[in-house]
Amino acid sequence: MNPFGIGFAYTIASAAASEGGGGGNPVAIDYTYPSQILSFLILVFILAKFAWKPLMEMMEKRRQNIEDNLANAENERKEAERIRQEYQAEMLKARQQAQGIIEKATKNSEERASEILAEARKETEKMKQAALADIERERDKAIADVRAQVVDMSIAVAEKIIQQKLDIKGQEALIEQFIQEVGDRPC
Amino acid sequence: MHEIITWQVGNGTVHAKTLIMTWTVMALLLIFVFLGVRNLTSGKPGKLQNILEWVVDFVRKLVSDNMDYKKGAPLLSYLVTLIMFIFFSNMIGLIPNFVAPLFKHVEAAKLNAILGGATLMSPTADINTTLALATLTIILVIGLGVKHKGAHYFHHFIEPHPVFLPIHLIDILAKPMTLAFRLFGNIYAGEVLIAVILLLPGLAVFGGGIIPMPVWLGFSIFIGAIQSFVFTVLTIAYIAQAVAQDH
Repeated sequence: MNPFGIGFAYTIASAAASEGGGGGNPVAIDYTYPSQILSFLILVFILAKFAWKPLMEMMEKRRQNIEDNLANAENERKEAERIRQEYQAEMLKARQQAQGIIEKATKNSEERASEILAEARKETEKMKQAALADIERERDKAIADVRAQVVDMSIAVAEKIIQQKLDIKGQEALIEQFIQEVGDRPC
Repeated sequence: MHEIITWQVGNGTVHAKTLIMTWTVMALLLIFVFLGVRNLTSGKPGKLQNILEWVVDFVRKLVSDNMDYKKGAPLLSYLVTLIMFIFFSNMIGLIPNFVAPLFKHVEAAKLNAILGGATLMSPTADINTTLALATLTIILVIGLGVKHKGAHYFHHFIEPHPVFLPIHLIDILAKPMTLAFRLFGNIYAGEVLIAVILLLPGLAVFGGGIIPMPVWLGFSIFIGAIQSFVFTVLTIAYIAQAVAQDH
C-alpha cells in the first residue's frame, strides 16, 4: 500500500481514510505521485526545448538588436557632430577667403583709382602746359602782327607827311630814326 | 469536492481524475504556449508572445532578485513551466464541467464518473500533484547545492554544531511538505467551498448560488494566482539558499 515510503503523509492519509471510510479521503498517496513527477518532467522537457529556448533566444536577439541600434544611433550622432564641425570649419574658411578677396579687391580698386587720378592730373597738367604754350605763341603772333601793321601804318603816315611837307631825300635820317623809334616801342 | 476515482495499476492505484485533469492542463498549456511561440519575432511581438515574454521576464526578475543570476539562469525554463502549470491547474478547477454530458454514458475506464460533477477539478487539489512538484523542488535544492558547493554542501547540516543535525533534517523535510500542503490546502479548500455553495438550499428555485459563486470564483482566481507565485518564489528562495556562497 505504501510503495514510496512517505511515512508522514501516508499516516495522515490512512488515518483520514479510516475515519472517512475510503472514497472521500483527499490526502491519499499512491502511484499518482510518481506519475505526476513524470508528467511534469515531460511537460518541462517539451516546453523548455520547443518553447522557452526559442522564446528566450528571441528575447536575447531583441535585446541585442536594441543594443546595436543604440550603438548605431550613438555612432551616427558622433558622425553627424563630426560633419557639423567639418562644415563649420569649411564655412569659416570660406568666410575668411571671401574676406580676403574683398580686401584685395578694395585695395586694387583704390590703387586703380589713385592711378587714374594721377593720370588725369598729369593729363590736365599737360593740357595746361599746351594751352599756355598756345597762348604764348598767339601772343607772340599778335605782337608781330601789330608790329607789322604799326610799321605799315607808320610808313603810310610818314609818306603822307613827307609828301606834304618834306623832301624825302633831305629827311632820310629823320625817317629812319622815326621808324626805329616805332619799332622799339612796345605795343 | 471530488470523489476519488482510482484506476488499478499493477499492485497499486492511481487517481484517475487527477491524471486526466493533469493531462488536460498539460494539453491546454502546450496549446497556449505553442500558439504564443508559433510566430516568434524579435521585432514587434504578437499578443500571446507578449504574454509569454512577460511571464519569462517576471520569473527572470524573481530569480535575479533572489540569487546570482548566472546560477539561476539554467533553471528559468523549469520555473516558468512550474508557475504556468500551477496557475493553469488552479484555474481549471473553477471552470464549470461542460464536458459532463458527453461522457455521461461512457463506462470505459470509469470516464463517466471521472468527468462527472459540477466543475472540473484542479490537479493541484490532489496531494500527489503538489507533493510531486515539491519533491522536484527539494531534489533541485539538494542537487544544485551539491553541484555548486560539492560535498561542502552537506556541511551546512551540522552548522553551527553537529547537535543541530536533527533540526536541519527536519528543515529539509519540512520545506517540501509545507510547499505541498500549502498549495494543496488552498486549492482543495477552494473546491470544497465551490461544492458547498452549489449545495446551498434553493439553488434550483431561487438561484441561491448566484451571488456567492462569482464572489468566491473571483477570490479563487486571486488565490490560484498567489499560490502559483508563492510556490515558485519559495522554490527560487530554497535554491538560492542552497547555492549561495555564505562562507
